[in-house]
Formats: sequence, structure tokens, C-alpha cells
Amino acid sequence: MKKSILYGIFFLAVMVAGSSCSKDFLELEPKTGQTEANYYKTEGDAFLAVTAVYDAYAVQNWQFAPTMADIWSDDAFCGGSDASDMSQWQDMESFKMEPENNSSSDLWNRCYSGIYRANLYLQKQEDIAWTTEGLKARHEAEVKFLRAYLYWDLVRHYGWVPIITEVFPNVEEYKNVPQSTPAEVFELIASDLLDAVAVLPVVLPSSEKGRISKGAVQALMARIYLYQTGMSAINELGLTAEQWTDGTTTINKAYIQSALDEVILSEAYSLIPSYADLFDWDNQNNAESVLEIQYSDKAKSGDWGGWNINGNFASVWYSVRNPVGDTTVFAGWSFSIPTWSLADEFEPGDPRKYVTLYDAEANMTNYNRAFMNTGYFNGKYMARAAYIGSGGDASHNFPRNHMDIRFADVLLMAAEVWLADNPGKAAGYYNRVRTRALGESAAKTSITLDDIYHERRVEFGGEGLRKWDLLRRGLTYTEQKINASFVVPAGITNAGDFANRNYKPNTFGMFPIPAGEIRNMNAGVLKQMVPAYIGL
Amino acid sequence: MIGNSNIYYFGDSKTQYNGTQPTRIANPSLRWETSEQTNFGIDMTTLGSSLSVTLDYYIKKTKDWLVTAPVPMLVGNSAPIINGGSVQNSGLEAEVSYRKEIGKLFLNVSVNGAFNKSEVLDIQNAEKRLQGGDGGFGQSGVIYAEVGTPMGVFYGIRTDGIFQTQDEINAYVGESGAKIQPNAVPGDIKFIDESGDGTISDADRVQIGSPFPDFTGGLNLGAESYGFDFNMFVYAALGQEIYSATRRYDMNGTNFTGDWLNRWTGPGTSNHYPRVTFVDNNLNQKTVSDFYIQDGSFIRLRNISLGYTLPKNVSGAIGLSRLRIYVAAENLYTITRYTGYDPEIGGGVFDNGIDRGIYPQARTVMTGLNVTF
Repeated sequence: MKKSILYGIFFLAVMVAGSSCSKDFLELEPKTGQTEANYYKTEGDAFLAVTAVYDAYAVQNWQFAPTMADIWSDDAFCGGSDASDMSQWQDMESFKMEPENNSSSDLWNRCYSGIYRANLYLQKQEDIAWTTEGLKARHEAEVKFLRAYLYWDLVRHYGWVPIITEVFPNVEEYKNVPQSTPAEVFELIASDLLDAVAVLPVVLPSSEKGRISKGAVQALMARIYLYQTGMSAINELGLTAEQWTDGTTTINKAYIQSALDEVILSEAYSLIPSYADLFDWDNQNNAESVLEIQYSDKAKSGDWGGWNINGNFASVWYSVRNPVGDTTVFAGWSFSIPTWSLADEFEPGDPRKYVTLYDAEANMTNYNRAFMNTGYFNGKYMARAAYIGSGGDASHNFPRNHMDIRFADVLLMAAEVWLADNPGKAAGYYNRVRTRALGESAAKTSITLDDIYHERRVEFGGEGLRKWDLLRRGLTYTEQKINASFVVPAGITNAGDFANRNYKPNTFGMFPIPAGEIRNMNAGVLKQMVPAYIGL
Repeated sequence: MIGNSNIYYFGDSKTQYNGTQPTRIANPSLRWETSEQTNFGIDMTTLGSSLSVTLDYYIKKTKDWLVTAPVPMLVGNSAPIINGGSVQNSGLEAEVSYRKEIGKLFLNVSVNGAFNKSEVLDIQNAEKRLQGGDGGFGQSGVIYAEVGTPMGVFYGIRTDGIFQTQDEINAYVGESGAKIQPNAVPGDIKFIDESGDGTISDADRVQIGSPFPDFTGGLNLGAESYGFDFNMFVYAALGQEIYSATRRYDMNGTNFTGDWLNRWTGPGTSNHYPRVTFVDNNLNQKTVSDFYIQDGSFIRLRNISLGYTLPKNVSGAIGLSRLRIYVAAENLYTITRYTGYDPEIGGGVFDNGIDRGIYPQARTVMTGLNVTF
């Protein structure tokens, strides 16, 4: 009897002991690997966290903005194998994007992934043991530039987007973040760029090419200023010209004039003598480069998911299908086919024409004349057989940087902002670009905005700038140019490929908010605000 | 955990740096999933212990259900593991088995079956709803759960056949008198405007099927006599649906399966398969709809084998202690109406029953010889 009571007490004691230690027993710290809570300690950790933000700037993830911009514009047709190949781009080309469009969700995803990495970094930088003078400020400035760049991609593609500037402790909080107005997004962009411009170095040593310099910030400010001012003509966007501000400093015409003059006078950049050399694959990060997106084969990428492609994937999209007779060309998928309208823009003898356009009819004995074929391909970026990577999937490893901002753009933007206030100075900047290609005899003593637009188009063809140049000159201008690009020359046998493309002005060049995002947010938080997509 | 696959290159020589970020969103408030289960059971053995019957009714409540529920992309990283809510699974399981030696015949038969019902009791977010599971390429959000549904059912737009003529399209109007599907042409799918707002949109999505079987069961039959042995196992899962995501629905130029030869080619040719076109303005292919829902029920002969063991005196005479020859087959025959490769889809929690071109199970036929020295 006594014995059993003793056993009973013992049993009870074990149970109590067991339950009291169960919590510690279940809550374990990982024995290997690092966690978000304990990782961010050294300057090296900080640098790699910043690198992840750069990765979001570079990742193409089936949505590379410059490629999509050219397809949308009058510079390129969608192309591909047939009318349903990359339907997300075909629908963009045909002005019938709908909320399930994959490019719309891929671009949205890429932008917010980068914004998350930037926001996380800005929180975690406080945990780093900083020892190098000025390093914290520099990394913070780089991250803010990249965050501004990603919000700029968002605002020009979606207009009204949620602004997120921190990592929330609870994931549910994100589901209630409302869409901000375009003006509010521009304000955040201004704030981040103004923070960055005050800190970053003017000149980068060779080992730091690819990182953000002061000149890159100033040039991006100019690019965004021109867009913001131009788009303020569209009432629905609620933007005011010359009122792009972070609340303290207004980035207006005077600001941009002096910023661009500063970049030009810094002598950190110069035009290289030959336009063709500019796009030589062995001449990357040259003197004309203000900011390049760095691509290489070193990571031997091979993941078709899109997030881990570290070469210039667009090179394969652009290249010729089944090429025969030119062994320098690596076969591709014939997307972003240059238009006849772009080819016609070049003046006779302009050496830029056949750098920009690869003429397959002239250079090949045969190739697959696929959907929307014009015979032209993107000569600047199409894949080249001599640069097949050393491992991974060949398509994913082309070591061809994308020239995001180059000095010729700085000069032509400067010409544009000085045009009314100092025409002589404007013409001087303009002539530097024009005469580099066409010789001193081509210089003009007085120029118009149309001259600048012509020069921009032939100078930057295939580089993803044209769409934004069109839009900022107004929706009517855009419509005329896009409709003109669909006029098929006489004698073309595939004219049917270009039919039924009805320009829709009320997209403003923007995409619908992804349907999946609307579903995954709380009900009613996200709405289609761009007129073309309301009700979809 | 911190991952390092966010690669970027710096410098003229493009030095590779493996940028780092957490592999997913952390959830510091995560709690352990707990479950409580109540069972009522009967075990019976009778007929001289040759017949046994087991009945089991259970109710299992899982609280703080651990799930990776999709989050908006603007969160910026992979979804955290969360305590999704509570789920109740209840059902009846029964097994009847009969083992008997009748003269030289040894017989072993068992039948089991289970009816299961899953119901979400609560979801721990403001929407009281979880959304997930992508369909075919170009289709998102095929699965959802809300209070009262099983945990993860198909969610899409219901269809009502094919528009045979332009008149049918013109006559399909909303309250305002405007066409509900203005982009449709004859041969396109007619979608049901569930919300009544006069357009086809996400608001029209409803539950269109469930990947969970109403009934699963098995039959095991074994017999031995005069050196012969026979065994077979049949498995059945009935009442579930499959979402067929076997093509790229964003790319109409890709190959179709043979059944698409029955597509709509003119009035009266098909009321199920729409026309095939590159330019799919009606979004026949991309819309998540019950067009992709199929009956996933199947009965499958999992194993069957027949063997013969030589009598001991015969095998002993040639110096062997045992010699058996047999022929066996796995996955020999399946009865199903599903048109895909294999109706046994499976899938993770909240990603069940979507056939993204699953690799079919092999049919294996074996013959063999077992020799024991």
C-alpha cells in the first residue's frame, strides 16, 4: 500500500518535472547557419547585404524593364516564335494587358524584393560594428539610391503603389498598406536620391565599377525629373511640373541644370571616339559609362526560374532564331525586333545605324523569319558566340553589361533642360553627341526639341529609353509615333503579324496591378487606378 | 536563416560577391501546432478469431496549424511559416478482415475504408481566408481555404459550356444590358458571372472542387494452397477532384494533348473544348476555371503476385532448402476517368491535387526465382 503511494508520488514528480522543462526543450537555437537575428555584425556582412540589393537592381526575372520598354515603344516589336510566345509581352505590344499578366507580377515582385532587402539593410546597419570612416554613410547612400530606383520602376509602371520603408514585425501588417499617389511615391524617390547625392563619390576606382557614384545619382535625378515633368500633363496622375520635392529641396529645372553641368564639368566621364567601340563586349565600363548593370558568366548560372540568372539573359531574347551564315551570332529567340520606323530614323551614313541594328538579311544566308520579323535585331546586346560562358546554361551567362546610364544621355538631357534658357549651351552639348557619330560637319548652330528627340532615338536605340521619352512628350505624341511604327512597308509578306494593334492612350504606359497581389492583400486595399485597367 | 544566392559583380574584372538575405520572412511569434484527438472505436473478433472487425470514429482538432500561406509579393521575401488557424478532421475508419484455413487453403482477406471530412474552423488573419497554389504557368491562386471549407480547395470561375454563335454572346448580358464577355467570339468559353456585376473578374471565383477524397479504401486478398501463393492489393480513392495544370496556359503555341482534337470548330462541334487560337482575347486558357477540374476518383490494382514453391522433398533432392518462382506486377491497372497521366497527384499542404504534369507511376511486371540454400 505504502509502496504504491510512493510510486504515485514519484510518477507525479516526473510529470511535473517533465512539463516544467518542456519549453526549453522545444525552443532551440539552430546549431549551424546564421539567422536574421545574429547575422548582421561586421562590415563584411554589411557589404554582402548591400550586394543583395544590387542583385535586385540587376535581376531580369523575365521582366527586364529596358526590353519591355522597347517592345512597348515604337523602337521594337515583340517578336518571338508566334503570336502567343511570351504572351505577357505580346499583350503589352497590343495594349491589352490584363491583371494576370506575368510580366506585371514579375516586375512588381522584383521591385518589392529589392525594396525589402533595402529596408532590411537600413534597419540592420545599426547592428554593424563600423570601423571604416564613412563606410556606413556610403552603403546607406547606395541602398537609398537603389531603393529609389526600384520605386521609380514601380511608379512609372503602376503609378499608384503601396510605399513600404521598413520591415514589419508581423507579415499581416503588409496586407493593409494602401496605395500611395504617384506624387507621394515621387516624394520618397526624391528624398532617397537627395540623401544619396550628398554622400557618394564622384570617381570610382576600377575595382568599384558597377557601384553607385554621385554622377549616377545626378543623372538618374535628371531622367526622373524629365519624366515627372512630362507626365504632369496627365491630370489623373496628380503630378505638378517643377514640384518634385522631398518637402525641403525641390528638384526642378534649375536644380537639374546645375546637377548635369556638374556631372559634365567633373570630367569623370567622356565620350569615347568611336560609337561602335562603345558596344564592344571587350570595352565595358568604358569612359562613357555612368552606370552599368553588371552581368557575367562567373556564377555559372543555370536556374530557369529567373531569380538566379546572373548573365545578361536579354542577349538571348534578342538574338536571331536558327542563324545560318554568321557564326559570330549565338542563336536566340528573336524578341524585341527593331521596327522599320527606327531603321528609317537614321540619317544616311550614320554609323550608329548598323551598330544599333543587326541586319540578318544582309549578314546571314538563312535564319528563321519568325513572328513580326523585320530582318533587324538588337545589334548592341544580342548574344555573341565568342562570349559563351564557361559553365551553367549558355543562355544565362552572357557577360554583357547593360549600359543603364551613359554620358551621351547626360549631355542630351543637359541640352534639353538648357534648351529654352541657354540655347547656345544646349546646342554645344547636343553637338558633342551628334558630331561624335557624324563628324564636325554635322554640327548645328541652333536646335529644337525635335532635334534632340531625333538624336536621342538614333543614339539610344535598343537601350530601353525610348518609351519614357515618348510618354513624357505627351500621349498624343506617343500615339502618333506608335501608330506610325505599325505602318508596314510595301512588299512585306508577314503584314498580318502587325495588324490589330490598337494603341490605348489611357494605359499611360503602365501595367495593371497583378491580380494575385490584389487577392493576397486584404480585400479592397489594392485597386486598379490606371484608367485602362479599371474594372478588370 | 541567411542565404547567399543574391549574386552581383563589382569592378572591371567583375568579381563575384554572394549577397546575403534571409531565406524567408521570420516569424518570431510562431507557436507549436497542437492537436487533440477523440476516438470511439470497436474491436471485435469472432468466428473462432477468423473474422475481425475494427471501427474507429475520430475527431481531430488541430490548433495553430503550421502552414506556409502565401503572402503578398510586396512583403519582398518568401512567406513565413505561420500558425494558420484551426482545422477539424473527422471521419470513420473501418476494417474487416477474415483469416481462415479451409482444408489445404489458407485465405486472408481484408477490406478497409475511411470517410474523412476536413473543415477549417478558424483562420488567423483579418480576411479569415488563405489563398495559394499556382495552377499552370500563367495561372495564380488556384487554392483557397476559408472557415467552413476543407483546408485547401480549388477556387475559380464556373463555366457554362461554349458559345456556339455570336447570338449567344450578344444575349449574355448583365443588368445594364452590356455584354458580360465583350471579347468573346463563337468557340470561346462562357464563364458564369457569379457576382452579378456584369463582368468576368476575380470576384466571380467560387469553390469549384476539392482535392480531398470522400472515401479511401483498400482490398487485400491473399491465398495459399498446394505450394501456390496469391496476393493482391487494390486501393481506391473516390470523390476528389484534380486541377489539371498540365500545359503552359500563357502560351497557346505549345503542344496540346490529343483530346483537343475534339475542340470547337464550328457551331455544335463541342460544348466543352473551346476553339484553339493564338490570340485568346477571352482568356479561355489563362482563366482559373472549372474547365480544368476533372473527377480524380480512381481504383488501382497496386500489387498482384502469384508464386509457386516447390515441395520440400523436390527442392531438397536438388540440394536446396527452398525454391519459389513467382510473377508479380505493380500498378497493373487503374480505373479512372481522369485524362492526365496519373490520378494520384498528392502535393503538400495547401498545394494538393494540382497536376503540373506529374511523372506517372511506372507499371512494373516482374518474374523471379527465390532460392534458399
